[in-house]
Amino acid sequence: MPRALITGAGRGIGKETARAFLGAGWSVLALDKDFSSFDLEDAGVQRIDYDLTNLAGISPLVATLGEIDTLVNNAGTLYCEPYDAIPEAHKREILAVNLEAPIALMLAAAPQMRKRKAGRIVNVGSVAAFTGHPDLWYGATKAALLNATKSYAAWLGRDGVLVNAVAPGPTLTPMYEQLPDSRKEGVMRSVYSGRPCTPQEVAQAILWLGSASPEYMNGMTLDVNNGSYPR
Amino acid sequence: MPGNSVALVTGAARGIGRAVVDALAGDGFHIVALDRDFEGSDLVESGSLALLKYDLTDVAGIAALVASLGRIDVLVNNAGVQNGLAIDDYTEAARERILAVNLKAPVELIRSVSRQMLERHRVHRAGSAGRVINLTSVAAFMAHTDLWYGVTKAGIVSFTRSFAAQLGPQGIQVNAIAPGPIDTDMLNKFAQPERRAQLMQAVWSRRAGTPPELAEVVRWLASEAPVILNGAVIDVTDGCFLR
Repeated sequence: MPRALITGAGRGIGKETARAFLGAGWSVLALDKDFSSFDLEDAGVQRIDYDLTNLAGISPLVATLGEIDTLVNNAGTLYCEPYDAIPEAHKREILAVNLEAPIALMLAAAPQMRKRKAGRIVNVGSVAAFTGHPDLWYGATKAALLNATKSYAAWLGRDGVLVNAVAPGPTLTPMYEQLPDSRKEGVMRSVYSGRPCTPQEVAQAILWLGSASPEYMNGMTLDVNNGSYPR
Repeated sequence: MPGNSVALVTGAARGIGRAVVDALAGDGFHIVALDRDFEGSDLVESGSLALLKYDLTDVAGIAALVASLGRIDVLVNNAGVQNGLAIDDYTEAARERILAVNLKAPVELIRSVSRQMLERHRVHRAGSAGRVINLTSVAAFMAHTDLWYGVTKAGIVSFTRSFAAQLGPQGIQVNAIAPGPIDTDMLNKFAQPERRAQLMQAVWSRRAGTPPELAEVVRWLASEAPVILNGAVIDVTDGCFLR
């Protein structure tokens, strides 16, 4: 049974991604620092209680997890504070969780994937990578993650490892609830369907990239935004 | 650009093209201002400004037209039409017209003008052999209610790169500009107040760009842009479309 490590699996897109992989017959290593809204009771799930701001612990952690066929870097954090009043601690947290941790996880998972000449990594970006974002560091880290996706694809592609990303538009998750109304209205105006994305839909895209998409597709970012950001 | 360089500007009678005439004249260019209709335009012919009445739907006549003009150093493909029609309401005539003016004519102009640019450049070799500036639109990157408008503007992005690749090694620069909403007849005709207000919400300055602002970008590409800048599309959107 193939195994997926999914970060930020406690809620939102991560939880639905865990559900989607389970439904496809995978076993799931569900990583989060908070499982209070995690309700997936399934024999195929192993919970990993871990705070990704602990960057130094990531490599030792991955060493204990055994074989990882697919890594989904989904965990992300966002604050939405004024540009000129972002607390240093928040900046550090966003940089750690949204950028440094995914890179540390890719780095830690890469050797075993290269050895097997197989493996997939899916990074969860955001349209914020293209548009900028009221949370400056959120946008900046998402753009950086999409860039790192290409670098890692270039590095690992020769060994048969695929590194792709999804860039969802606003998706109905707890994070969406944090957005100001004006932003939500803007989204509603621009999407073709007149509704926000559901986490299940993003999860389907992640599952495809993480399990079945053609191997020639590497280093790419799949826009899941329904017209809220054509580019 | 040297004092007696000549720029051919299409769609020059009004709007962005009209502002481009002023901007390039300010840099010392002699200008051939092309439009199908100068009615209501304040352009006045002079020693450094020739008015050329020509309908660009006559694509077949462009090569001969260019041959009759003499030296052209800069070509500004600005002329463009928009019909504001839903796809089901498009007539064959409207489709053929927009394809001719927005796509076929600029391609034919580049073909014709680049030939003489290369001919002249064979002598000098160094520096720029000539510059082409194509006006596209953010419509190239997004869904547009006038399907053929969006399609033709996307086509301009594509041929900008094709010509840059083909002509760049021989010293010709081919770049494009993709404006967001600019205060022109076209915007006023197709963006009614409600749509316009909505558009402005996405613009950081909450206003439409002005033709002189856009003309300054054209001027820079025509006069100053380094030769290494080729095949580029410069977005002038003030935030209404980031990519």
